[in-house]
Amino acid sequence: MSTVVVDPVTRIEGHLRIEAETDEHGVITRASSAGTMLRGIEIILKDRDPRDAWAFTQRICGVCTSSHAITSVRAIEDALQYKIPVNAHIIRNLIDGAQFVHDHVVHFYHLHALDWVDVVSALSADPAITAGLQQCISPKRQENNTTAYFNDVKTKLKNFVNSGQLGIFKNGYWGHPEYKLPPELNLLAFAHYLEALAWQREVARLHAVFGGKNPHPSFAVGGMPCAVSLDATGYQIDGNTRIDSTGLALVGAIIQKMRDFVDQVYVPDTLAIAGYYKDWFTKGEGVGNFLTYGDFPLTAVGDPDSLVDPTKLFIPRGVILNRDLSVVHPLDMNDPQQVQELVSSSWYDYSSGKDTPLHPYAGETTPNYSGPIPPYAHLDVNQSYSWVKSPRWRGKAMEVGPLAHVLMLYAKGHAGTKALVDKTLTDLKLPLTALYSTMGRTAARTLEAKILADEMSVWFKQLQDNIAAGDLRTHNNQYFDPATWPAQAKGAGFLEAPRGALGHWVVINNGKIANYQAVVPTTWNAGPRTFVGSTEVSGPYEAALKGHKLFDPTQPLEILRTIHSFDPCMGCAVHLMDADGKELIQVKVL
Amino acid sequence: MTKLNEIAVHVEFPSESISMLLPILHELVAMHKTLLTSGQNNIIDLRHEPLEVDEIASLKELLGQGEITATLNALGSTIITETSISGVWWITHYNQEGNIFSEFIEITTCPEMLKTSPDDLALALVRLQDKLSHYAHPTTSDDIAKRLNELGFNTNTVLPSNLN
Amino acid sequence: MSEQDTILEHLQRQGVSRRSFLKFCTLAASSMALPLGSIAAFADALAASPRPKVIWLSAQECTGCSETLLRAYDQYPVEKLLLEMISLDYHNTLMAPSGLAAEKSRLDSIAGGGHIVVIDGSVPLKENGAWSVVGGRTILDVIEESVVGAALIIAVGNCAAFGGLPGAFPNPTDAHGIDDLITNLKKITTTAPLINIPGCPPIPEVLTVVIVNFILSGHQAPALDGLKRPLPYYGGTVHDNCSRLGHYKLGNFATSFDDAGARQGFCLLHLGCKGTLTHNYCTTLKWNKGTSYPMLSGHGCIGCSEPNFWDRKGGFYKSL
Repeated sequence: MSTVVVDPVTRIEGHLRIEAETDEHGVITRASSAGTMLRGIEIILKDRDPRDAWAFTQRICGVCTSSHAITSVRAIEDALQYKIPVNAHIIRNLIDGAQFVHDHVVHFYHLHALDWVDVVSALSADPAITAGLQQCISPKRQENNTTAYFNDVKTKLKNFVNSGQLGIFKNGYWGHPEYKLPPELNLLAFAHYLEALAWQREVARLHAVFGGKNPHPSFAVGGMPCAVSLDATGYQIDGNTRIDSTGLALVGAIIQKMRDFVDQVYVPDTLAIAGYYKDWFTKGEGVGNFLTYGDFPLTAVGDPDSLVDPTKLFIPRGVILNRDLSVVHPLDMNDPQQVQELVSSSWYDYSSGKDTPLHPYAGETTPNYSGPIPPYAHLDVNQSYSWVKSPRWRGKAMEVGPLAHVLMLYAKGHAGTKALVDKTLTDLKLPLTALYSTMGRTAARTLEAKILADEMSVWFKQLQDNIAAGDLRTHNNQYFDPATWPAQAKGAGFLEAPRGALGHWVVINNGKIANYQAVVPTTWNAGPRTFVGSTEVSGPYEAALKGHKLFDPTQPLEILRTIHSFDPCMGCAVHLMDADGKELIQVKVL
Repeated sequence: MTKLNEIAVHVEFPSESISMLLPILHELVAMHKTLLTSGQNNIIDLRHEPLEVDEIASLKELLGQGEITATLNALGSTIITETSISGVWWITHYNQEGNIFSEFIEITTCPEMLKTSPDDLALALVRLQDKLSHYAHPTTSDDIAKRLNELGFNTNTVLPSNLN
Repeated sequence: MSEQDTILEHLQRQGVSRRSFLKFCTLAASSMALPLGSIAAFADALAASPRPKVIWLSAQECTGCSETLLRAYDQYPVEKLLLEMISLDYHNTLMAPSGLAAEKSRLDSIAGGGHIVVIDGSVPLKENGAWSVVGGRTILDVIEESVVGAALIIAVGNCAAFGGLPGAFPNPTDAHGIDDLITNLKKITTTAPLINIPGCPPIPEVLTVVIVNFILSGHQAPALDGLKRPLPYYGGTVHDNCSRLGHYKLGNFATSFDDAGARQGFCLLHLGCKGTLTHNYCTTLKWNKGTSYPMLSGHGCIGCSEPNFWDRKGGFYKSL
């Protein structure tokens, strides 16, 4: 019995440590997931102008760079009952959708792929066979599918390896027997790793059109700050703002570029690689429970100003328990018995006791670092061991993220999703239960990228139609001035980030933030274990790792494969703390 | 058949404000003499000469266009021309946005940039030999289909024959 | 240990001819306004040394600065930077190995010195740094160890430069920027020069060009302002080149994000724009291949390359 420590877990966002206890056969008996860095953004928000909150919370994470900002403005808008124009809803959908597609592609190639792809093996690939493979798995692809192209890539790789400086590829687990892909598929994937670096730069420009820049585009409470470009007589003209024919043409071109890359590269690569790792469709299940707040407001041309309606969302809201897709349980973000956070194994205290579940509106945050003084070799995982809290829904651990999205869409009968999922399972000759696994989660990420990229064309057309019909409004100024606000207000904003369900709760007193709380997707997934009596309730990461057999504890590839399948974002996960330990929400839910 | 007297002869007339160019013209004469007598090359960096943009243009016009123009395509274009004065070469560097970032005059029988560097030859030979072996032993379509089938991929969605 | 290619040999292997290489050196010399003789010096420097080692350390970061690196265009997009110009030996977000194998990469890289250390995120001092730990050690400790023998330290982003968001009032984790830790608090000892490249995040091309020019110039830092920011990029304010400057001068101001003035591109001063106080390159080079910048897309500048911009009185929407 020994403990394998992986710290830093690389190819994630932020700082994560895994300690995995293994038996004499190298099988993980218990895993502990620890967030190791804290910033305290929540206390920093106290007493500030709520209209500024989007910019502060946006910097919780530079990867999901639009997720917190949109959630934040929604929280303020909910608190003030501040409706926004339909164009603003659509633009936010486009920004959020682009975030998903960009994020998932980069995650697959630059963060996850090196767990499945042996880059050094690509050196023995035959470029002609690789070209044949490319044409075989993606017949619609018209470019970068020739022997000459793959020969170039192979030469580039060979020269790089021969230079003697391997950079980010040095000390990788190349040659590990768990790598199963033939050299040609490794070369193909490496070529796409490089292509994806160029592609992601291009598609980020959509954020720059609507938000001025990426990373960290601009937002505003009340809609979007990007006005349509007009001349003095009110006619559309290029150049006065970025929302002109050039900007919108770029957006359209980017959406097409996204769809092409997803359809012709990302999806075929995922399926080809998955075919070699079918055993990973039978392990790495999280907890079998899934939660979404829902997202992507459904809109129509000519809609009046509105708030986000939780019943009219492209990704529906709900909870799935025990893999049962026939029942979607309703979710109420304001119900004190539903979404709760515990700190049983986290470095915080609650005045009512660490094991008391608290709804965000009634929460507390008193940091209490009881871990070892660094430098340390091990955490004491039998007491508190993480800066991440443990959210629960009605006491149960929940997985959030792409698998939750896809299952929710599937369960609620979204035809496109059902067709895509069923076809994928048929092609891979797998049953539906294969989804509840590391590779299932990974494939779900790919499929949702396609689903959302395709939907972006619909939203973009709506935006264009709306503008063509004469509705140019992007921002409602009605409540932008704090003088128009009531003395007290509270609200909750929600969104589905690429990693899952995200909620911000805010209380405003006399025009200033009195309390601010975020419960973030990776918190759900990465949170440390809690207890019901003496029974452990593991969160998704810890549950998913149990039972993994490590071939070589010094090269913990198996741990990385599963942890990466969740796409960790630790900057988000660590709770935003309150320096005095006083929490945050004083107004009771009525 | 082309006759000798059909080779064009250009006659140039100097434009105004040549007086500002006198120092650099003197420099060019001195450098050209050096090239002639000792074979030593020289170079003038126009960006570091006290010349305005229109003065540089006048200088270029004065020196005229010779018989050779070469284009280097790397990180944007570089145009290398011999002026109408043999041994005086004009080099204009453009960046990828198409803007001029550097201009030189080289006094030489052949600018460094035009020549193939001996450093490049060894690796070039390897590349040429690679091409030979690739075409001498190409992977056939049948080989490819066979291997892909072995790997479990369905090649019935007809493998296009042009894999080059 | 295997022989390492010099940068020149490495480029030649990639099929870059000597003449292209000379053009590259000419372009680099020109971009630094250096004279002719420098080209030969560059060529010699590159002919003599392997690709410089770069390690990237992340403290209290949001990863936005790494993401901005991925968005670089112009001469040094990231794949070119990583495959041809530098050896990025350690970067938590991109590197293949994890845990001990990753730390080994870092230790191998800093052995012998001469490496470039890029740091993003601020460093917390609360509880002696226990609130930001990597591999069981405080990030402060890791940084201290990693700057020994370094040729250059780059503090990228507002957090590493000036303490950034974690350092905003009331700074609950006692977060500090790198220069503060070195110069004022004496928590890190080093003789390596430091360059601040602030922004939230900074424009990617500023970061890539500063790194490459440092290498090519034989380790000369660019001219820096009083806040150790490279003058070519932080010497002017974003106001100087803003497309809405004409309206500013005419007194045409938008009063809301979507009024008639906003739609015509009127100046955003009354909506809180801090452009007149903000030294950065956003309106000159623009963002994401010249696509836009915040003011062109309708939102005022929040001043993200300046120290303490998060705490400016009145917030982002208060008019200067």
